[in-house]
Amino acid sequence: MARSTKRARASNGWAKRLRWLLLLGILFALPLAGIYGLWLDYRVTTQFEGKRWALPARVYARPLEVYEGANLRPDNLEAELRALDYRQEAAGRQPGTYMRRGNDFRVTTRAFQFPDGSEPSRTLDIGFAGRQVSSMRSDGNGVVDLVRLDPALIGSIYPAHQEDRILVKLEEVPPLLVDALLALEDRDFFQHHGISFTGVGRAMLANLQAGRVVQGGSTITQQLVKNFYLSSERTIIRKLNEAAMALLLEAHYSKQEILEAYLNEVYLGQDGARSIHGFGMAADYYFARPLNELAPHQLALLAALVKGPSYYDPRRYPQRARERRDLVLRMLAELGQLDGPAAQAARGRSLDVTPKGRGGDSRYPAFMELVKQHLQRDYRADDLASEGLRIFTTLAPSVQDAAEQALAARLRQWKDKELEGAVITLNVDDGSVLALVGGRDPRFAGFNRALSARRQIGSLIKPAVYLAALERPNKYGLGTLLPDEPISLRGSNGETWTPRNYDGETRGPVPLWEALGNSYNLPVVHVGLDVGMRPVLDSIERLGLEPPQPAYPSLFLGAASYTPLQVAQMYHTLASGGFRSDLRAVRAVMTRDGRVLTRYPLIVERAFETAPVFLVNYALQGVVWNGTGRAAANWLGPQPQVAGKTGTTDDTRDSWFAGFSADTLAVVWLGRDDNGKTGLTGASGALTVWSELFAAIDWRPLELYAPDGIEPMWIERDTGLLSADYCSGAVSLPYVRGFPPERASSCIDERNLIDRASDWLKGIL
Amino acid sequence: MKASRLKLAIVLPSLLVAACVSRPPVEDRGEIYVPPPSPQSSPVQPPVQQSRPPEVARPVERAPAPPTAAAPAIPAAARQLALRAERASQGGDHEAAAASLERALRIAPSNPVLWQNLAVVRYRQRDYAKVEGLALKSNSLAGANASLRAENWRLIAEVRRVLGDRRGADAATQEARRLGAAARAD
Repeated sequence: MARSTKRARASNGWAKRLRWLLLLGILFALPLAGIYGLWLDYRVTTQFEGKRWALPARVYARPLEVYEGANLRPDNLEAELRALDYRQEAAGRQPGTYMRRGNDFRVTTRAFQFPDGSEPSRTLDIGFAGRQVSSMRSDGNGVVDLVRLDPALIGSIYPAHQEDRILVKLEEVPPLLVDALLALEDRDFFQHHGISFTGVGRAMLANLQAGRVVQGGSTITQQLVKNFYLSSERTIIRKLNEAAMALLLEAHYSKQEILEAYLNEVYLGQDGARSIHGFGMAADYYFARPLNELAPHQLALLAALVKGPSYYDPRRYPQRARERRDLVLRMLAELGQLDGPAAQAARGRSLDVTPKGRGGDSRYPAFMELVKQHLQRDYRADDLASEGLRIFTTLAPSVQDAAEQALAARLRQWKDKELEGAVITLNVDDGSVLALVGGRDPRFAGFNRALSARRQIGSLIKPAVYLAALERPNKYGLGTLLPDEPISLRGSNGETWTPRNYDGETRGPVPLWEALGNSYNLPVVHVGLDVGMRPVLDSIERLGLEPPQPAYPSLFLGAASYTPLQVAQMYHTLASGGFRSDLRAVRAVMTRDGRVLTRYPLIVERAFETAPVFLVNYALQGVVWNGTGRAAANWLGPQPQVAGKTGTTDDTRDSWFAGFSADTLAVVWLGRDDNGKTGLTGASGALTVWSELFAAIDWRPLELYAPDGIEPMWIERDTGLLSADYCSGAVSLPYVRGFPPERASSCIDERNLIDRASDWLKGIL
Repeated sequence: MKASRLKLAIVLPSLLVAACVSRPPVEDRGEIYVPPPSPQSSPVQPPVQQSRPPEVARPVERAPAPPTAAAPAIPAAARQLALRAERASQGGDHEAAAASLERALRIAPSNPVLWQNLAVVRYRQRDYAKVEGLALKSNSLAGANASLRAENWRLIAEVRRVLGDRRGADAATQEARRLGAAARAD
């Protein structure tokens, strides 16, 4: 008894304590639950309303401008359209399609928002005459002056976790896709409050019938919550959290907002390290087209992928993907959302996916590196990878492709696997970079020789030396005779330097323009020594290169190392007539909603008077016409309207060519990474790549019209004396006005006597 | 400095009209001169016509120099963009004006008037450091068009003054006067 009372008392005490505990528990738990609920609510709302996704920056090529008179051949227009994934179609009336008949095109452009205004979608008939656009008319509206195609997307700059998405608005999403998704994933979406008991019931029933899990009971809201806020572990706590957050989300936001978020969040594929999220990106990844251009069979496939993007991967498991797509199409027909014949026709279509997912930043890695370098000055890496910026670059896809192909074609010829190369192409007028190839595999994002390989430039330096000379018109003109004679120089360290010509010969006096045209070494050393090191260094610097420190006379023969990009800067100053511009790879940066953050404007600075640059360019045309660059004629015909310079370094370690037309400049370098011999001179190597490139692209001929202050003079070739058109051995060369050679040929004196005689006769008559 | 800026404010509008040189009566085309569509009515002769290429015959062993190319007409596309730039600049949106002019220059890069227009837009933006290079570029393409070159030198004189280069400004003014006289003598 005593024991029992004792026990009763004890149990009584227990119960009491338990009650206390419970009370205490409730007292604490209620506010805790409340606080937890508030915290969930806070998470749901802040994350949903704040910036939801880190969006990679989109990098665009320059848009193609089409206008009457544009230098563009039909094949290159087609190449540009293909780079934009325009589809060839019989009608050519859907945005993003074209039709070609011979040289006549019908193109329907896509609308696009540029930093300086919007371009509407238009249907155009474009005609060609030879290599020029001869007419452009819009449907029914007559002549169109100017059209800008949408720019090709050439890459993206990703955040560390590499989620890639293109945001879409609900109204941009084809209704059929929404129908298919709701039919597959959540039929009660517009009725439930975040959780669907009928959905769960239907799923259970379906799963029981099938004997395995075929349907999930999660609503779209729950799926969104799961992806958005929660880890993927499967615990009861997580499930409860999910349900609570789904209810909260529905309480705060409309069905449309939730649906739109879901369409952009859902995971739809994997491309290496990059994960494909949302239907906007999926359309691009699987079909290389914007979502609103997709046909029913393509939309059905995207909807089908939601259940298992890797299991139904259309590129790896086309059979599985197709079965599920057809299932979706049948279901759409059953629900009346797609009519029977249309569904049947769609089932008859192939999967229609592109062979390889495009995007990522891999297509033009060398150029992308230049873009990132350029942007580093003004943007933090984090912002580039997360703010969804639009970056408008200067890359010209057709020129880039031609540069890659020219290099590849020539490298195949030489069959030297160690031989590497780099190509840079610029627009002369504004210094923008049109193409950049950093090695023999243009898809490989490795060592970028165009930007990073510092190599001896050899004879490419010579125009800088002659420029310094020709800036002294009282001493030097194109016809000035230079000594092609042996020379030995003793350096401060006691070593002697004895430069030689490439062929080992000496020729005695040679005119300046021929010495440059044939790239003789000895004359340029004499000129450099005569003009002096300081003016030569000054000339190099004004051309846009950092001059070497300290400098030795071997500099006159190019014993200085620069990257191909730096060489391009130097020759750009020549090509633009003595005006220096910073090379540009980016034109503008715009936010996702169309606000321009930065423009990189065209800046020109005069670095040289026009006259001496003109004289150098005249001689550089001689290089191509009958100097070391004459092999260009094999590709471009005799006397092409271009100018340029070959460069070869010791024992053929580097093969260079830098050349330009009126509007396009390209620099080509060939060599080995280990600096070994290649057996190629500038002419037999780089020049052939350059010529192959120039044969493939559209450029304006270089017409060397003399600027103010330059006039033609007759010069006696063998003496460099002033001559006249009636004298034998005279050549006409451009000279700075007021600076003829000091002495005249005796031929002129004789003629003058006769002239004076005739004047005297006139006096008598 | 203030006074000189005021002076230029007066000079500038006339400058832009003056760019469509010496063809009375001068149409009022607004502030930025828009190159005309075809060469025959062209007040600004394209540079090629003006600076007739000297008969720089190639040295004897070369073939003769190519025949003078026909002066390229300014494409309607560039003209349209110049018009757009004019509207933008009048509305105070100089950045948009500059962007349109840069586009126009990609189409007609050897048109000296477009380069001058860009120089003027930069001036209006008070982006003085960019003006001189653009004006000199215009001059390098202007050939024998003395009045266009005179206007460019006036612009250069103005920015040099603003940037504190008095001597350079005076030299530029002299150059402008010299060319202005030459243009009137024509």
